[in-house]
Order: sequence, then structure tokens, then C-alpha cells
Amino acid sequence: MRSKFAVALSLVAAMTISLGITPAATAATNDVVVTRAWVRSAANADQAMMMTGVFAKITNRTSKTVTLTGGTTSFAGVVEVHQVVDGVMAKKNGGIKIAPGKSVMLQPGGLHVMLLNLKKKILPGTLVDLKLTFTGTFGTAKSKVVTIKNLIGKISAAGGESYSPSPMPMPSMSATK
Amino acid sequence: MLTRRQILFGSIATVGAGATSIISGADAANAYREGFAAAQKLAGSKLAKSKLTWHGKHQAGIESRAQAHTNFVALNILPNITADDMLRWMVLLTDNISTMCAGIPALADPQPDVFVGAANLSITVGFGPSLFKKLKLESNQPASFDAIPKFSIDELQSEYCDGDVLLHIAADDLQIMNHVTRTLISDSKSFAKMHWLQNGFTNAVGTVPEGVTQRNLMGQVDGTDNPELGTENFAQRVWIDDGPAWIVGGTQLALRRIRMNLNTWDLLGRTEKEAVIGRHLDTGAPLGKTNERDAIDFEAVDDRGLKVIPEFAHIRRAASQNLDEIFFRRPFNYQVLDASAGQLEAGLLWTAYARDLSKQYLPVQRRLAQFDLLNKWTTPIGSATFAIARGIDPGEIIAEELFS
Repeated sequence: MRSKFAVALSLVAAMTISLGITPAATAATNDVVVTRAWVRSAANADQAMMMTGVFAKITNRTSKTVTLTGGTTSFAGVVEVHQVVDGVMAKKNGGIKIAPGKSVMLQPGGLHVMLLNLKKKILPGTLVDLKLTFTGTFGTAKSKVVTIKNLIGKISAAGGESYSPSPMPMPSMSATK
Repeated sequence: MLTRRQILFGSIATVGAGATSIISGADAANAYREGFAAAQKLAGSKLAKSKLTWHGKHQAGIESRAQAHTNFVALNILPNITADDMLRWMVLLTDNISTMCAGIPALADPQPDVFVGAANLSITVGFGPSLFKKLKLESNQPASFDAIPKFSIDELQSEYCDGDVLLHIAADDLQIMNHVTRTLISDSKSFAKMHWLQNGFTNAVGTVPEGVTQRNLMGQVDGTDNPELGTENFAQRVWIDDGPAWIVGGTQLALRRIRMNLNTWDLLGRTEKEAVIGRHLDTGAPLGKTNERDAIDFEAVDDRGLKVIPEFAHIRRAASQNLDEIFFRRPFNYQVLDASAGQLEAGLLWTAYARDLSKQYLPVQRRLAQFDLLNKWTTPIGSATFAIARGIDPGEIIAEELFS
């Protein structure tokens, strides 16, 4: 029963993040805010090629540009920052830059965080832990780790890309070229 | 019509007030126009912004005015689904409820632009007797919760009966309500398949004054004797206060799809219709009385010595015989094509919410099945019961204790 209690407690964070309540209400101005975060789940037990994507809205509330460089999770061996350009998904060298006061949307078919070498199944409704690493100016610190306690695994057909090893053309887009 | 004199005085007044007053008048007019446009725009989206509280002791969608549109959806779980899978499903549903009822599109909604607001959205989750059996969770059922026995008047069609899980969606905008339904079903497809969907309606917001009892398609006011919303009486009749933690603050629902034979009902005269029900059609008052909520006098006789409210009248048969037989009704109407007859089929998505259906609802239903003249024009064709989980606070998961 102990582990289930832990699920209940940790979900508090997940709910408030997906609702955007906590960041809006409590985030300091020198901060970076992650809201509306979710992870693409597989319908079946095995994730295709042992990788999947994370999507979210990230807002830079500091006065300098911040860069999302990567992260860690107990569910995957590697966390990378990716982009899809002209239908080809590839690692985004240099990370994702967010201008002061601006937001970026990580979404299917665009910028996203990749979880590679998955160690555990991510099913619909599975709650996934994730830490995202940012560089920038956070008071005296030059980097910051934002902890997302529970990303919710969701099936989504949006974007049309399949997460095979990159680079690869996306079928839906290459067909139109 | 302006007279020459008024024009003259008018022009004098303007000149007298000076040039500045003319400019500030124009400014004022502009400000007024802009303010009016802004107010109009706000009013235009007022309904979209209207929200019901989704969290708290009880789930939304029960102790509140029936919204204009509803879908009752029953799903049956896929083979091999476990309690652990159910909990993951509830995580998804809970997240959907907490976002969409707050007016925010669901996470990963492929068409978020369709979701322009909550429009008083409620999403209520319940579980049928078959789910407890499949998952061997019978010991966690509310006391005496079970399927409704088949009554002699029933002509049940299996496509409107039973179901493992109920998702009851209701909102005051049909497009939003249908989009929400689709979102919930999409997020449910790894766990269950749809068994039935029953679409229903009441009046739109603004077409009848608030607090007026709604009418069913037979023209009768429906729901007069309900426990009043927000009262201790309501709580005592509806909300379960004992048993497994997941159901304390929840309730039991009986959903009956009741087909009306409007073609033969239409042939009755107004007086006959009133006698069948025992109420005046226009005011909803009990026969012999003036106002809808006047106390019913079952003993009153007319000058011929006949009962004012006939022995066969629906309200006589349906009236609770004791305080235990009180429950809450929140009916919606339906109208569909009866393809085999080439006719319209109309009826009620009739609901009873009770702490204990077996004590509060079943005795009344048994009495009505025995004898109620209204049975001539109404036929139950669908029947299902669901245990509605307690409400949740932000951070909790619906029916968490049941599936943990």
C-alpha cells in the first residue's frame, strides 16, 4: 500500500502542472516554467525502438535567454533535445533556446524532448518522472534543473512522426514532397 | 420629429457649451461604443466561460441544474484489464476532468481549438455491477448495490442496458459536449470499448427562467417533488456516508431509457392527460390546486364523490409511501429515428440518484410496474445501474482507493 500512497502524493504535482496553477501562482520571476507536459505512450507493451517524445510549454521568466539542454528520467537511459525539420527528426545541437519572457511549445512534429533507451514501459496513464536541465542566468547560478514529478503518458496521433532512429523522413510529410 | 424651435435651442445650447464639450462628447460616444462592443463580446462568450466546480466531496453533474446537452456513455473493459490498468485510466480521466471542467483543453488534444470553454461542463464517473464482478472487487461495492431486476413492464434492449464504466458528460453547448465526449473516449480506448451512448437534452440556457421545473416531451413538468439542491434533505437522500472510502460522498445511479408512445399520447384530450398524471399540464399543480409545489391532497373528492386525483394517476402511484422512498431525479429527453417504423422515437433518459437504490427506488418502481396508467404510453427499453465514486480534491485520482 505504501507505493500507492506515493502515487497519490506525487500526482498533486502532476495535476497542478498540467493545470498551470502552481507555476503561474508561485514561480519566482527568475525562473523557467514548464506546463502542460505529457509523454507519448505506447498502446502496447513495447515502445517502438525503445524511444518516445515529451511535449510541454516552457516559459522563460528570466531576463536572459535560457537553453534547454537535456535531462534525466528513471524511465530512459538518455534524454535528448530534438527537432523536426523538413520532416526529418534530429538531435538539436546547442539545445532549445528561449528568449527572455517568451514561451516555446514542444509539440508533435516540432521541437520535443526525446527519451531514448527506455527501461520501463510507458503506457497510457503511466506517470513518468523527468528532470529538465536549463542553462542561463538564474540569480547567481548558470544552470537550473526543473523537476516534473509526473508526466502523464498519453496516446496521441498528432504529428504523424514515428520515433525510429533519426534522421528519418516522416511518411506523412515525405508523401507530399 | 424635431421642430424648428428645438433645432434652434439645440444649436444654441451647443454653441453655449463651447467647442471642448463637443469634442469630449465625441470622446464619450467613442468610449461608449468601444465599451459597448467589449461588453457585447464578453456577453457573447459568457456561456463558454461558465464553469461548474469539478472538485470537492461529490462529483459534479448531479446536485446541479441539468445542462442543455448530455451524453451518457457506457464502456466495457477489454479482456485482461486489471485494477492497476483501471488506475492508469482514472489518472487520464481525472486529468481530463480537472483541465476541461476548468475551461482548458485536455492535454494532447489534437483539436484544442474546438474546445472554446467549459460551458458548465460536468463529467461524472461511475462503475456498474459487472465491473466489480470482472475485477473481483465485489467486497468494495456499496452495500446492496446491484443490477435492477427486470420488471413486467420492461421491454429491455441489450444495447441500452448495463455497462462496466459510466462516463456521464453534460454541458450547455452541444459542440463542446460532443468534443469532450470524443476526447474522453480517445483516452479510454486502451482500456475499454464503448457499449452504448445515450444522447439527451433539456432546454437551452435562457429559454426558460431559472428554477422552473423542466418538461418532458409528453408536456409534463418533471421533477417537482425532488429534494431541493443544496439542502440537508438532498444530502441524506443522495450522498452515501458509509462504506468503502472511494464511495463515501458518492451515490448510486439508476438510468432507465423510457420510450414514450407519443403517437397515442397525442390522441388524448388535455383533461385525460391531466388525469393520467394527476397534475395540471400548464402550471404543474396537483389536480385541484393552483401552484406546482402545492401539497398533493390524495383524499380530496369532487362534487360527484370521485377522487380529484384518480386512483390510477401517476403521482399517486409514484408518491413515496414513507420517507425512505425519496430519491433524486435529473432526467433528460431524447429523440431519435425509429428506422423500423419510419417514425420518430422520443422518450426520457430517466435517472434516480440514491444513497441506496434498493431501499429508496426499487419499492417505488415495483409499485409503478404493478399498476400505473402511464405505463400505457411509456415503456422502459434500457436499464443500468452505476456506483458513482466520491468527489476528489485537486491531486487525488477518481476511485483511487477502489483500484489501489
